[in-house]
Amino acid sequence: MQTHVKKSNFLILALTLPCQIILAQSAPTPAPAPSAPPTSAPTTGSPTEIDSSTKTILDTIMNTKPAEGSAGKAGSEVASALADKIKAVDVLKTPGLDDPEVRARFQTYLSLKEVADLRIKEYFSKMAQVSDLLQAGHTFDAWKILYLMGEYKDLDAGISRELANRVESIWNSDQTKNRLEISNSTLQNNIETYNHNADMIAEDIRDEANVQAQKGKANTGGGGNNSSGVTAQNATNSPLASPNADPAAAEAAVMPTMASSLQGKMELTSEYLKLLEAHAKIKLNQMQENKMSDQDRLNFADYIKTLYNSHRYYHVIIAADFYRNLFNEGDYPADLADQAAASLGTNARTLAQSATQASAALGAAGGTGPLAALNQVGNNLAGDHAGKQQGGQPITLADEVTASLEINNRVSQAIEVFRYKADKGEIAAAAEQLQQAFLGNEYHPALQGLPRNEKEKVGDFLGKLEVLKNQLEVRDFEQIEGQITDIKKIAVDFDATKPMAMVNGIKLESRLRLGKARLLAQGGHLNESMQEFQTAAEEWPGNPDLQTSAAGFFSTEDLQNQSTAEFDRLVKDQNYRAIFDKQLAFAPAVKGDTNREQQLKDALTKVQKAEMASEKANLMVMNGDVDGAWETIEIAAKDWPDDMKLNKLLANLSGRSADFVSALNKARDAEAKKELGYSLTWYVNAQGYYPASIIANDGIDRLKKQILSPDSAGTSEGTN
Amino acid sequence: MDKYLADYRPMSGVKFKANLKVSADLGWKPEKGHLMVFTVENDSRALVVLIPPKLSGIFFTKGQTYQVSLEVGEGGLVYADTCEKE
Repeated sequence: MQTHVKKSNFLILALTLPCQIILAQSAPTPAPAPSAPPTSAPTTGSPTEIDSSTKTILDTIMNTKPAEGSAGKAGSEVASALADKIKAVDVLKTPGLDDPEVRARFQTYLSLKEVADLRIKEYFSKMAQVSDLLQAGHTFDAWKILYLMGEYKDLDAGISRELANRVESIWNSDQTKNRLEISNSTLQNNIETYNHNADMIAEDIRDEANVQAQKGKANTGGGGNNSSGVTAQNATNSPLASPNADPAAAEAAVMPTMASSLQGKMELTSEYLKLLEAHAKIKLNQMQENKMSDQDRLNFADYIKTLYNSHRYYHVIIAADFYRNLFNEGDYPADLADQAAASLGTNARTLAQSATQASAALGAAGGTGPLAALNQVGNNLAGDHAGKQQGGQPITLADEVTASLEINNRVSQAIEVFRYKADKGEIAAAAEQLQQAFLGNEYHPALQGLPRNEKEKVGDFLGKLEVLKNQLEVRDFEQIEGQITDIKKIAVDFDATKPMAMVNGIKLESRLRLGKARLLAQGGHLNESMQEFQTAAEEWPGNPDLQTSAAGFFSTEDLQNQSTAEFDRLVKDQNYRAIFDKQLAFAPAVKGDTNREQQLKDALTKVQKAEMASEKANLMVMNGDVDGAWETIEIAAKDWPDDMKLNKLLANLSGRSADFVSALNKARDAEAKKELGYSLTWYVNAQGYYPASIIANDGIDRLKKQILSPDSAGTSEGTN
Repeated sequence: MDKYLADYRPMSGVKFKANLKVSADLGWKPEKGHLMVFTVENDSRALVVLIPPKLSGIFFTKGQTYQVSLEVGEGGLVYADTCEKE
């Protein structure tokens, strides 16, 4: 019985609560909740259909709330976190294909018809021929074959022709250098002539000097001293030196010898100057020649780098061979690479970045197989570069060649593995190998020769994998199982464990959030409930429980209509106890309707009084006051004569207080017949049985007044 | 007493005497008299009697016994005609 008293208190609370709480109280545990049956909702049966009121609320959550940074924002964050989770699933990764350009090229490659095997062999036999000729030193013959290779446009893409042009430009530069060398040779010949002439002139001068000395000795008449030229010269000049000599005669004597001597010396000087000039020209020509040679080497090395960066690894190798032949170097010169990288630091950096990019594109570090090996090649290059940049040592041409050889080898291995896996139906692994090979060297002949039907399997697999990723990202979990089945038909080795585990995990989380939302709603925390509901919907938009929950949480209108209809029916039937039992549902439903509110209050008061009377009567019986118990129930039943419970209880008590009840009944009957004296006597007798009787005392008061003051209920006195 | 309580109607208009003990005074009006409750000897049941104004000189005390001439009037109201203290 105490339960009912508590319910009454709860009712008062419910009537004062705001309308929102109506929802929360619609399904209390103790009372049978009048939750709307699903069939009564105006639905079409669609699993995703939500009624209009729910739609409005959800629209508020999804569109308005996110902007306000509450529930919707939380949902968006959840979605973002889930997207990250999905991306982290290994089996869904497509290494290197994140770059849209690479992806587009790969997809194009998958759809291209294969190049005929014979044609590939022809092309690469020519390439081998070029290498052989270069190794034998037949550069020109090798150069001619480059033009033939250029004819294979599907394999070569014009790279060989461009390489041939580069080689030709080096040769054109060599012709200029040859002209300089010829010029130097001429100059060298001239130098020899000048030397000879100078020697001859010097000899003539010496001879002339001797003749003059002989003549002087003869003119002076003896002496016999011809020991030196100086003496002879002094003798020759003696007329000028003598203080007594006639100046005119002395000049006439000396002049012929002096003129002859000066002429010889000037010629010698002229030859000497020509000699110096020729030496200077040779030196200048040599400097120009060296400068041209350095520039050629730089340009050619730069071109090789370009080939490397564009993954034309086979052409890197033959271009490097041309380099050695053109510049007559047995190995790739480190000094040249140093100069090139030093002057073109950006290129060197780009090279390293390219190597790193290639390795990154080929997959995650730490893997195994060809991909890891390719990574290692790239990382080594990048690592060397980084270290050398800091230490001033750039990447050498030899590094590029080595890397090219290595990458080509790894790509060959990846293709071999691809074929093996594809034959076994393990398309997932085969696809990975093919992607790695493509990212290593998409121009590799083995790739170009792969039959289109084999590549199409990979394309089909990757396409379905992409759809699966999209389905996961939008949490379209209903389609995922079918998609995985389709993928497994193509790729028997596709491991669906992780995607399915993730799907099941998200589904479970969504269900738990819905449960939490329900609990929060029942607890009156409607905002938090909405947040949880929205997050659950974000996690799993297709969750079939969403509609049921939404109807339960938010379809207030239907619930209200149902409740009021039932309430009206119960009022009409005077089934106040049923109203009392469902008071928590009816209270919010009738809120705002004055008439129904009053009816509800009356009903609840009626039942409340009856219940209180019952409890009081029970207590009285326990205390032995049976007459009092009967009277309590009798008074309550007067207010609600049709209540089965009261009537049953009254009947039970009547038998146990028969004298009192009989006296009261006789008094009432007599009173009803206006037999006032007789009635009063019986009321007095009834009071004798139960002195505290309200009915008896009231009857006595009422009747004595009527007897003593029939016209008015005037004052009366007396003892009782 | 038994006959009256069982059904007063056959006794309407009948006069009789009884020894009554004062039990309670229900009220008084000068023009109507005293409305008293009496019991009979060896019976706990009560009888309401209207003591008319002509007998207003009698001072009824609870527990005292009187010999009273009675008449059953309309509506079963019992009137006292004479009343003497025993």
